[in-house]
Amino acid sequence: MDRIIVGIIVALAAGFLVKRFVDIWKGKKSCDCSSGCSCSGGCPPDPFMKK
Amino acid sequence: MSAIIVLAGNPNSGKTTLFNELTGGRQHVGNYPGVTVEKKQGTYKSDTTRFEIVDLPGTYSLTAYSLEEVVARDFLVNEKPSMVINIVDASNLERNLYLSVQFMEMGLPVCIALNMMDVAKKRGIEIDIEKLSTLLKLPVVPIVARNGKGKQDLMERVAATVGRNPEPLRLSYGRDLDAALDEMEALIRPAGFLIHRYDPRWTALKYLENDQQIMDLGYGEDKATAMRLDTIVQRVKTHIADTLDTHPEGMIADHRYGYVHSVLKQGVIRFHQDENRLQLSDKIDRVVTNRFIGPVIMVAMLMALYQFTFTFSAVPVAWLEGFFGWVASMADQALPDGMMKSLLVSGIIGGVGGVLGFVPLIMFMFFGIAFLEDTGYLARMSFMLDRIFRMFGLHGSSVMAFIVSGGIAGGCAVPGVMAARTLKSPKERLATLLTVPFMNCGAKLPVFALLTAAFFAESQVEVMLLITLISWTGALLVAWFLRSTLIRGESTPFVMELPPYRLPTLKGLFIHTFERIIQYIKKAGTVILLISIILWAMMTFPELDQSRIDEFDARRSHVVSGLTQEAADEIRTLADEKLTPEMTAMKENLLQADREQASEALKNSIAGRIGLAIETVTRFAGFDWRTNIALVGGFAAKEVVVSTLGTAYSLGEIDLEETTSLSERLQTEAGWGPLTAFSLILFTIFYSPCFVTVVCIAKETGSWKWAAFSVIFNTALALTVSTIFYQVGSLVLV
Repeated sequence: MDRIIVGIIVALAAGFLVKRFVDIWKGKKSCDCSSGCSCSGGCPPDPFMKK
Repeated sequence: MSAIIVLAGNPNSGKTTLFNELTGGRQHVGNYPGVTVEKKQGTYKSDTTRFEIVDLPGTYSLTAYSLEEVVARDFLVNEKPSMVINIVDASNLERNLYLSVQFMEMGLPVCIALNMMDVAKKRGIEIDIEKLSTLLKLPVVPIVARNGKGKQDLMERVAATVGRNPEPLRLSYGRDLDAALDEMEALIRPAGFLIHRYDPRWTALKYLENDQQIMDLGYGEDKATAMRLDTIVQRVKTHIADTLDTHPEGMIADHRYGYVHSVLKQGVIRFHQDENRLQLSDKIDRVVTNRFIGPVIMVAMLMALYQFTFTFSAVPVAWLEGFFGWVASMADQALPDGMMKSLLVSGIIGGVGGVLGFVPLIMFMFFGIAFLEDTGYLARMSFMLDRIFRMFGLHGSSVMAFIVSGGIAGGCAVPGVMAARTLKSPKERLATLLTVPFMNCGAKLPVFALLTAAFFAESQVEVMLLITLISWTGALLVAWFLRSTLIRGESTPFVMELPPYRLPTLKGLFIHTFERIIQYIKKAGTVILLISIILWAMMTFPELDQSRIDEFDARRSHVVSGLTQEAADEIRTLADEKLTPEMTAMKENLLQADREQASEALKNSIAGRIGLAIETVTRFAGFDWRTNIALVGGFAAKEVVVSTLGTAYSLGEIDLEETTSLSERLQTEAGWGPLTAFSLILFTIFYSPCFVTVVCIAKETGSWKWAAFSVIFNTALALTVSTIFYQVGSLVLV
């Protein structure tokens, strides 16, 4: 049972991670501050980014 | 009667607002032929005239450095509009009039719409509109585009002056350039060179400004004249470089600003509230941006920032480390042995807890950076570093991209790569976006904090400053290498507006810091959590063969042979001081068997096998297979280096009741020492950017070639630097 639960958790984690990377790859999710930055530390406020 | 009217001006000067005010709901959106820059068109009707209004892309100049500038200029030249309404931000008059001067030099009919008069008034700026109009010899109309105030007056003035063709403005650009312009004009006129499209002096000016579009056009029309013009330009360029150490483009920009300045100085503009503040800013700048004292102040600022961060974060970081250790210990005691317990304790708490433990450090660092940013000091850093950057083939605008990426530890390379968009020269831009990942982003910060706390606790501030200097020096040297080999080309001039110094509000600082901390925690709780789970699985499977597990069990049984089951259990559970010397020796043998089994299981896993395979190369840099696993994981996100080390050492940990932090664990681990730690720091600075940054580089360069280059080149560079450091260090220290 223990192994089944762990297996499901790992599979879910892998699925979410792959989806996230595919989204980034396709440009659906990026780190431009307008779309909600996910970078570590976020996007420092930068006058140029407003462009 | 109908006429084509163009709205042109700097970005964010209020063009679109005025456009919507004038055209209402009648506008439609189209595309300029051949390019994807959006163009808006609409109509405005007065009692007598119907105006076709065209909204051009916002631009700072008309020299073809960027796409917006090319589009705007082509429209003005090809469509020959009846009038250009130049929207000028009254609260930023000097900078905005720079573009107006260029319209005047082209000989275009211009009417200035002085927008944001309300903002200018609030800032204590008073403008003598009549005087400005007289000095520029142009109609000037005050407006507030936001509420449509002045719109009627503006269009009446436009209707009254439309159709007039003024003489092009002829500015003096100094003896050297004026002589060259005269010589070139004398060549252009008789040859009829591009004369059907441009004013001869304007063409000559564009040649001096190294305007590639005009030069290509000229070369296609009359090769002989184009080559003679080019000879003159090269001669002037060499002369100016030898005598004044500058470029013609820089001199032209200086003289245009000089003209604008001289117009404003004649009583056109008066400051009431801001005058003292500007004067104070100028006084501070005399010291802060001084060529000799400025760099000393900059280094002192960085040291003060790091001192502030490490001093105030030390206690809360220790609390959090203790807290996560306690949580791991509680989970260990509460849960039955098995996979679930291992995942929770080693994978999630050991991994994510390791990253979250640094929240206070990140918080204080961001607070300090927000302070420097809000005061206006970061802009001064760009200004001071421009000269150094140019020596290495970069540009003053590259500095901001570097800072955004973590020039002062704590940024992010993704917006840094995007900030390189502001560079006009494609080669300078490419060199910038390939080198910004060397900066110390917020994700690398926990790695540095962990290693400095473990091995350089007495001199954390100095080591952090050293890390900053190494990353900047490395980035500049790589930029110089790239600009001397793969992406050669001349550097372009840099003009920068320095904002006045401001005292930041506490509320603003807290908001900035809070936003960034939330993002850091969010990332730890999502991406890092997911990666930690995957890496835990990779460090757990496949498991050891049952026969091997049986061998370890047999070894443990052998250690306690002759004892009752109760006595054997007591050896593991009793406190050390209650054990007899024989029992202590037995306990040590049991723990040794446990450690060896855990280590063998880790080596047998997928991640362990990858780590061991890479070890053949990385051992020269001082990294064992466990560090290799962490570094491979770091490609997904750099914080993962810390979380993976946390998981790897947690999986090998035998007695969780004696909680030790990861930094304490590393201090006692064989193979770890200051030399290995600093070698790892060097590797982390230089090796491949994280996945998201690599994708961003591919998008921004439009080529996967450069993205692959940044992965391979950076990793090779990191390995070389770390290996040299480790090997030389080993020789020196032995």
